[in-house]
Amino acid sequence: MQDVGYPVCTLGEVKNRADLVIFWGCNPMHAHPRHMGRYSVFARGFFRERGRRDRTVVVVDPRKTDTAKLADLHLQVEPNKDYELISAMRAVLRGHELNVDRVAGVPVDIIYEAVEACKKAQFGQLFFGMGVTMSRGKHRIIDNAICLIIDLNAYTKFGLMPMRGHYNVNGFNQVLSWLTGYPYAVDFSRGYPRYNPGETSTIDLLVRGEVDVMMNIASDPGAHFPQRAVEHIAKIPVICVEPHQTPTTELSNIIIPTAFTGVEVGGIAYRMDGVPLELKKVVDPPEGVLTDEEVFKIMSKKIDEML
Amino acid sequence: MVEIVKNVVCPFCGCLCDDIEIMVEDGHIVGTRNACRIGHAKFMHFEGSVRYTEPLIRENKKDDFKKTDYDTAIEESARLLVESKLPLLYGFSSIGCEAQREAILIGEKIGAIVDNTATV
Ligand code: SF4
Repeated sequence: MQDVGYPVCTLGEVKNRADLVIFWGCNPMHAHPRHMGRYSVFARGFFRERGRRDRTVVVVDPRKTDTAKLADLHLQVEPNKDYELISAMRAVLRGHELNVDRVAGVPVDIIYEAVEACKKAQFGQLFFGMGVTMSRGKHRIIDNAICLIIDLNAYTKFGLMPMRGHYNVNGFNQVLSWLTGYPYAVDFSRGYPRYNPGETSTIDLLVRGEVDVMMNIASDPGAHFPQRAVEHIAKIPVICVEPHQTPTTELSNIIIPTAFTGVEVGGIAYRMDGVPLELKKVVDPPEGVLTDEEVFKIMSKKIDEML
Repeated sequence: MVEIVKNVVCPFCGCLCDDIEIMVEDGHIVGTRNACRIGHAKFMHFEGSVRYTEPLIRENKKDDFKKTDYDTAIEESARLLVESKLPLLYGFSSIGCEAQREAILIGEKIGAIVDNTATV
């Protein structure tokens, strides 16, 4: 993604303008239940007054998800064949003929139909999820998808957006980018920020056993990481800054509980389209519990004293 | 008395719906309006099954945790991080930007790897 750049827009624009929406490897009906209602499919927008009836919905997913069931077109791609499917769509878009019956398990006439629908759209938007970022090829697939979007922009307006799971994934990428120039996987060990996913990314470092202390902040790698990465986590000292008990806190040496942001303490978070919103404090945290910001400020001071 | 807090932003997925209304009684959340079933369930039970309210510490991972105070827990964490050859700061996706900034600056001071859940 950092190699090619990508066209963005806000969810408000999707709501008001999009007449074609693609969900690739994501299932908003389950993971983002109000996405389709508020922003992307059923929402009645300025130029899309009739909501769902003014939009074409395309879903690319190996499974017949609930989102796929209400799509106009479902491309039931074989698992891990996303890259091939995108390449086929790009080929069709450029006027090449597909001399096979199926690509990546999808009948070619459905591919033709999908490309035709994309070309005809006034404003298209591709949302992609874990299904893409976790399938074989990972960020290369995204690069290819971005190229598809660039190709489509020769015909119409088209954008793409990742469906963020945790509420402030985007915020972290924003903050780290304005502090270091890179969105994630930043290595400060040489005294300046370096970025080289595959080398400086968490799972790779854990699998190779290169890091010797882990501070885990409000997330649960113990439950989601590959076995070999978790084995290394079990070996090294682990600090958890985290309100809840999780499989990762079970592997830790120090647990520092904090107030729950967005419920017990306010703060800024970035929506998946990059719009910053202010989270509210609704109730008080349990007595004596500090906020994340307070914990890191105290830690920072103590580190200054030790260095 | 049930108090209604309006225009709350839901911190439970990347949609960040900003039209949630929360009913609060005696400092506890008793209901929500406009949230989806995920958002509603999380607001109602955000404290989860086991919520930590005091820092815990143990030398060996086979031992049981002992209760401690914030000062000791943070001091020990700082020591581990400073003494480490290559520390890893990971997560960040469920905290506010202000706290993210503080933690990233710690990473810079101690020469750490700073990374989150996103690979895109
Ligand atoms: S209400 Fe539902 S869709 Fe909206 S942010 Fe919360 S969890 Fe996501």
